[in-house]
Amino acid sequence: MERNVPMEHLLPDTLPKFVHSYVYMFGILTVAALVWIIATGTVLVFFGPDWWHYSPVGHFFNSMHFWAVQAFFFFMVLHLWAQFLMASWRGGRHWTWIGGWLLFLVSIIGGLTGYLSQNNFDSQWIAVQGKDAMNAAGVGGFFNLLNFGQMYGIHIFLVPVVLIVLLAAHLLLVRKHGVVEPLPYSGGGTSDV
Amino acid sequence: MGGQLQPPIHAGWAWQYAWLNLSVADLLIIGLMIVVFVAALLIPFRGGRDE
Amino acid sequence: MSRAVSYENSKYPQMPYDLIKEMFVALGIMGVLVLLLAAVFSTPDVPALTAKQVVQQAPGLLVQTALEDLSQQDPISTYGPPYSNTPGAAQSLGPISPQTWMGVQTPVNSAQVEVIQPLEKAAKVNPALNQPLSIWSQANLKQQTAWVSNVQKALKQANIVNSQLVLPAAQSPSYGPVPQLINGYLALAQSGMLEPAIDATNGPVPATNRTDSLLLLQDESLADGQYADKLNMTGDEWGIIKETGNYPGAVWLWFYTLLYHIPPFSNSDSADLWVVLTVTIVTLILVLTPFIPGLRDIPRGVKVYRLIWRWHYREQRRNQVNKS
Repeated sequence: MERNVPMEHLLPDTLPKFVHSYVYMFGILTVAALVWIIATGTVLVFFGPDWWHYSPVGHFFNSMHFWAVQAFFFFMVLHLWAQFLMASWRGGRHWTWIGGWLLFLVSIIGGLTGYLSQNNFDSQWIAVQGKDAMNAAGVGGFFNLLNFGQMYGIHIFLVPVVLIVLLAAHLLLVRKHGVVEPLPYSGGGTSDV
Repeated sequence: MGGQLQPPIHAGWAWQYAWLNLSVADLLIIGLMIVVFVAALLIPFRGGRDE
Repeated sequence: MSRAVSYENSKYPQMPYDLIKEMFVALGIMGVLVLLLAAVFSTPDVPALTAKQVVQQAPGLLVQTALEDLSQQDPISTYGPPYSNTPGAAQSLGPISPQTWMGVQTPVNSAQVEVIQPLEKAAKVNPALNQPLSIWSQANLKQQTAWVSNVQKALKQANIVNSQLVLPAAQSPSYGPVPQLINGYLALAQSGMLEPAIDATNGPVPATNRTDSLLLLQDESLADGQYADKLNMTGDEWGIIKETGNYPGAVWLWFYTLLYHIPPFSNSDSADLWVVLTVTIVTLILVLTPFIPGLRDIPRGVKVYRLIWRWHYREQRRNQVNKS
């Protein structure tokens, strides 16, 4: 890693001046939302999956977790729109783009397994409806939406681990290549890959 | 034979048009996304001490 | 490799940047946002639909469900893989049929799992069930189906009185043991013990896999579907991206949901497979945008980048003017 990302660029204390727009904030707001998802999620895990159904404090943590998830996808999609409009895959940054999409897809699995972990009508309905797509795709036998134990375990452990690893790689790639330079005013510019 | 199932809450408000059926809550989120994105594009950036 | 190559960003004039401060600001903004939203709006928690609630509010639905299960006419018995071996039931796109390829991985015999085995457990508490269960198990499938069919036909003149099914008397011999089984079933549901009894079928380990009891009410034309319809959340009502009550749902699944509502997906028996394949392909294309000419040129065409970097372009023009 030292060879690819010189240490002074890992935690830079300057940025190019062209980083001059609020759209550059969407990435870090997405990360901030993820931090709050994990923090509130950790509390929910600690007290058990039925806690939030009967405890007002538990319900409040569930609410924070829910709204943090909404904020997470909200800013993630805005981040995607901004990166697309800036063609941020240029200059060898295609893995950053691909990694971002992987993060999005794993997040969707995180959201799905989270919904399925609620033990209420929402999770019941999503399970019995969603199973048809899983079964049609041939994965329903081993990714069983109706299996609470499986969905809950994937949600609280596997998805967060994969997300954190992918996020670390994504951020390291941003540091490695630096912020993508602006397109020439008239378009064109260097090759995309 | 027998009555009707009764959820403890009412269905959320939704906008239905032809085959579209979108909840008001979802429409608010989408609207907010567009507003926030356009605002981020247009509002002059105050960071970067270059003055 | 990297130290020799000049770091691209260094070519540009720099401004000071405090990454740690920015992280804390973002965390602070997000924390306040999440706290406020939670405090003001909370979250919904509509309890799961139970057989007990169905018996109390619309017992006819549970009667219909049990009768379908007993005669193996229910949607799960005729589903195909992974639950049953029904020929022609699996979704396919020409020769492509992952559902068929994976086979029956979680077999579910609806009559046994959803009705008979729970009743056998209940018979320990309610021995009156032993005789009807014995009569049922000794009959062949044809006889069982005939009994169920007779009861189904009589349902229009039937009533539920004190959570018990009362059928028109005239035809009682040809109902077989079914009325007693149904009434035992309604009582078991009323006690709240039906779902645990169903899931305990697989042994003494406490059920963290509640596939069987969830499949009981899953019929879209019966309990779960009607309940969802009251909440405006069925598939036809774009339920995938909805939440119970006035809360936002999974808006990011909009494209997946949209496909179900337009041809050719909306007319297809294999809609799920078509939609999954289409979303997979479209996602793959978007993931590979950097390599796809035309698609990767859209940002240059749409020109929003001129807004994003307008300060930079102005500086560039200023510097060029100063130089000349």
